[in-house]
Amino acid sequence: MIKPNPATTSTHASTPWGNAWRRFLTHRLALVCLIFLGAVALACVFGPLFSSYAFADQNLVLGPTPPSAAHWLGTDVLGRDELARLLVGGRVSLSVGLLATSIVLIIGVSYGMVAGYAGGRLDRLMMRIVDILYALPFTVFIILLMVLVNEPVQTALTKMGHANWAPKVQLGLLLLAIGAFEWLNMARVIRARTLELKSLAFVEAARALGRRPGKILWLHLLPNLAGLIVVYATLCIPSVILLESFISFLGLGVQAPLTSWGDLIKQGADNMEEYPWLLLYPSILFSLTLFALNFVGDGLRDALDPRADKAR
Amino acid sequence: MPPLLRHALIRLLEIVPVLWVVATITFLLARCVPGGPFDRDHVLTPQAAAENNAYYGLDQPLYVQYIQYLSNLLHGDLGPSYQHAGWTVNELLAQKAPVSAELGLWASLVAMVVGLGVGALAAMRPRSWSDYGLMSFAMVGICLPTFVLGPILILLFGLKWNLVNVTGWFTASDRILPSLVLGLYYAAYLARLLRGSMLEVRTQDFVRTARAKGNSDRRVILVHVLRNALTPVIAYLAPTMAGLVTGSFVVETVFQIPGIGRLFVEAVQVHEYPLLIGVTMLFAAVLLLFNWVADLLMTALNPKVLHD
Repeated sequence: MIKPNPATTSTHASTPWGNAWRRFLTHRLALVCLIFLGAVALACVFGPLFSSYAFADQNLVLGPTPPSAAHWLGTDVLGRDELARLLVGGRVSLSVGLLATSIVLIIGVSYGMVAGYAGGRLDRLMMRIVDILYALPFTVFIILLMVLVNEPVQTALTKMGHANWAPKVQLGLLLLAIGAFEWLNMARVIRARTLELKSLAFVEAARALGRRPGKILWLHLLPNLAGLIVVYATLCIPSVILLESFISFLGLGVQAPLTSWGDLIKQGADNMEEYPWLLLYPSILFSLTLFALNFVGDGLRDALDPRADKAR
Repeated sequence: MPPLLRHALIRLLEIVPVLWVVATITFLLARCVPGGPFDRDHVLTPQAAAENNAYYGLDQPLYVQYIQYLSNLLHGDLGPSYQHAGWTVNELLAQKAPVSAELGLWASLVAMVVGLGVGALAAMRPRSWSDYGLMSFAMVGICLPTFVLGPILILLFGLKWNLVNVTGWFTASDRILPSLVLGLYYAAYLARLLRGSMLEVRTQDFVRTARAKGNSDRRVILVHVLRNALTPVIAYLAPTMAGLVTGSFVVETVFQIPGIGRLFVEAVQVHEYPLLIGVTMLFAAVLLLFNWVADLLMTALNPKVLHD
């Protein structure tokens, strides 16, 4: 008896998401990278609980020291333990990266798909709105958000005795600012691809069969866009992490003594000649995370490709 | 009229209302930021401040200022600069824009050559060591962001080996490091987008058909796959290039290049409305033009999108 090849039969299953996970498991490098990312995330969340140093504890007498038995990754200019700061910074950077990217994906993908699929006047209108928003000065928008929203809210919170909510409000506004800016390119890329997919035979067939637009978008176009979405998401996360440090520098977002990877790398770059370890370790962790993310993204892309089994 | 030409003309006409909306919102945004251009540096007597405001028309009602501003804009006049006394915004931009444009074009070239080259080569043999190696190389630009890669390259090539000038924008060799630093960051994006897109297109039916017709592998990849895979890349590249040729704050600061990026941040800091609006309108015009070209390119690559 000839055994049916599970890979080819799976593509005919009614749900296109069906065996993506099984296919992902066969991608060994991606799996290793996913485990690494999980380990980094766990270390950032729980690591600071076991550290003998708090990330904000200064030791001005000690000052900046290279790695030693007491401080594994050395100390920064104010004598703060670099490892503790790196882990706490990871909490900020990873959560901002994931949350902001989710916002970007949801808005960018749905907007781009609707514009691309609708075509005609609606598409023109929607894309010109994207053009307008993209052309507006982002820095000015951040400053306005800071002055007109953040400051009044902070004052009100302090009056109501909820001053400890302030960092959360700041973080929320930061996500809003990043989300408001980064989705524009995502929408443009998705719209361009949707426009192209729309003219392919399988979409025309679905339309001829009388499928409703919502169904076509969800069942036929989204699986075909999944690869592009994943690739774009893995690019979005690092750019969001770096954008965070720029916005925080402008005064909205994460404020000292709290830190983030972008902030630590920036501080390291400012002192790279005198205290190279302050640049080296944050950069290594950031790079390794990006590499892992990159390969996890590739694995996901391969797994989500609706025609993945044809490729071999 | 051929449909492509018609499409091109309509798209070109759409730029006008979009520019008007951008001009209006930017005007209002700039006025929303608290603080005026003359309440920093040195305290002015009320009389001097009033004279200043009257001289620049800032004492007029907002709608009068707006009409004046729009009519000036129509004539291509961006107004006088407040901070750079004696200079108009047009003169400032005319002086700095070519520098940023040149840097941006070189950087775009680096990004395209490295990014598209790496992306296409990596997609030829997915999941092989050449794929992993090439993509890892492309990642350098994001892993070492501009504010890290810039100083490192300055340290190595400028200070240690004395091969190039550390800062400035005078000789041809001054262009190398800033263009590399700026371009490599975006090369990483282009490489990943193109690779992913090519892998996707590779499995489409029409590629199989092309292969079945007996086309060689190379021809299939170059003509059929690459052509159809370029869409997302072009959609991403147009706005990105618009940003590159109109100034990059970080790289201009690191390398002390007299471009628009630094001018703009300075304009925001000191509430210099005309300069802020001038740079924004310049960026908007370039952005819309590039997006127009991108739109036409995508339509030309896939004319089917016109028929619906």
